[in-house]
Amino acid sequence: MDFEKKLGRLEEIVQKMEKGDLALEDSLKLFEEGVKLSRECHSRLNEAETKVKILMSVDANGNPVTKDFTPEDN
Amino acid sequence: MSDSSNTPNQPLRKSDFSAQISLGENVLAEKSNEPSVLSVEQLNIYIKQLLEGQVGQVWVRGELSNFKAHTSGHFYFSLKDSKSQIMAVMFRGNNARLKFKPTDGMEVILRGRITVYEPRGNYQLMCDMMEPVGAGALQKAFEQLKVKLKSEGLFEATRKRPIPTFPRHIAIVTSPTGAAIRDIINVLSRRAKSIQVTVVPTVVQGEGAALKISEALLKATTLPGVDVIIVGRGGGSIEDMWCFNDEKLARQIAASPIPVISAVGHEIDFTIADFVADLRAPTPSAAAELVAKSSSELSNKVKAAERMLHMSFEKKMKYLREKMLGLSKRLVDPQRRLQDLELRNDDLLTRLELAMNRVVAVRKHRVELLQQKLGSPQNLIDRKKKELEYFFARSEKALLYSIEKKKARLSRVMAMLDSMSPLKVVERGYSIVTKNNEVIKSASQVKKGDMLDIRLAQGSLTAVVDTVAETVKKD
Repeated sequence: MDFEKKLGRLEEIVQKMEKGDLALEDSLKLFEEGVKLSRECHSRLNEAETKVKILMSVDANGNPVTKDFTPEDN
Repeated sequence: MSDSSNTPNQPLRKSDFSAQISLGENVLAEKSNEPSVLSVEQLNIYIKQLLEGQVGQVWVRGELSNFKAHTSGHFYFSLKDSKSQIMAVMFRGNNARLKFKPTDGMEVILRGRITVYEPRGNYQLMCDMMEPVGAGALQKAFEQLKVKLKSEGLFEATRKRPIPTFPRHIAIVTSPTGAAIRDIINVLSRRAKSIQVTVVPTVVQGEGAALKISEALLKATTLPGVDVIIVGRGGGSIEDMWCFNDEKLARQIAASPIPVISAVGHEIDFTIADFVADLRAPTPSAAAELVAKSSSELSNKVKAAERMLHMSFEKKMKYLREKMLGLSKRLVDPQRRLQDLELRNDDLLTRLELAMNRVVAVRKHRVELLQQKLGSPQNLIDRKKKELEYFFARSEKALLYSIEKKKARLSRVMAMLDSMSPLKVVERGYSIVTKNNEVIKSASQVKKGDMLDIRLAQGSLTAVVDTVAETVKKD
């Protein structure tokens, strides 16, 4: 599942939970899923941000710095 | 600026024209027997009617003399031949159309009407057309040569070579004493000092001039480093310029390996040389300006072009820079988007937690409520404890109260008891005798040897019975 789908799913979960008409078991299941999704999204965003920062950096000669990007394990 | 005319005057020929003026005799004499007397005015009017009516339009050939161009623009002159002359006038409206400059001594053919000027009693020729003699023939020869050379393709634009935009060496084929060379040198020295000028002198009018010009032109083509040749002369009569309508010269110009600019006479003058040349300049000055353009105007052009280039380059650079900035700004966008997503994710997580907490809290609350309703043993114990404590407290109170009451009663009873106490009697000297704590009221209760306790007010005694004496009771 890609990022957008994850975030979409997370939103869906939050909306469902905010309605507050779920059974506790279901709530717990959804909550667990939501937290997991949120964590995944967050780390994906971190990776992307790091990559952008690397790509946006410029050396003394005004040439953009590029290097192979390896996502850190957060 | 006309080159002085060296053309010798041709022998003048008499006009073929002779006006046949027949005066009707009966006009002058109204009555045959008696001559009528006229006033001067009448006579002149009469003559005017006669001449203007009878003679009308005529063609006359003659030589111009006493030529005057009046400030009004009208020409006044006489037309003469070896034997006679006649006064003539040509009004501005007519003379403006002339293609040549009339001068004294010029032989012309002209068309006009005889008019009589009554106040002075003189007559004159009122011209409306004038043509130099020979012009017609020359014109014909000119046209024929033009057709011939044109058919050979000598006038084709395709065979004309471009004039170098930056000539360094110009050869000028013209009269070294004429106005043309003066004008050209003037312009060049003013506008293009750097251009080298070589004058190849030649006569530019009269017999054999065409051949001389051809030779001079040929010579000019052999000069080292010449990149343009100007051939020409200043203005003059059609005869003066006729040598430039020469076939040989035309072919020489066409054959020149170096571009040729023709500059003959004034703007209105066209010669065969003009048609063949690579470029026709209206006047010698104009020819000089055309080549001088290269120097000053070219440098201006170059500067302007340089400026334009610079400006357009700057503009382009500015545009590209702005475009790049715009693009790099848009490149930053993903970062901003990432931040947005980050916030969104955080928000969702927070909401998720809140929602979950609410789910839990709601249930907790419900459970508590139910628990309360259910009542736990602890609660019961607590309640009972409380009850117990309560009852305990109450019973304690009650007990204390009853004790108090009993105490009070006791003390009342004791007081009563006290008041009835035997001890009170004893104090008065009585004593109480008891046997085994039994009060002895009768002697029958005892026998000899019993031990009796005797209580006194002060202390007690133990006594042994010695004798028993029973007595009857008396009520």
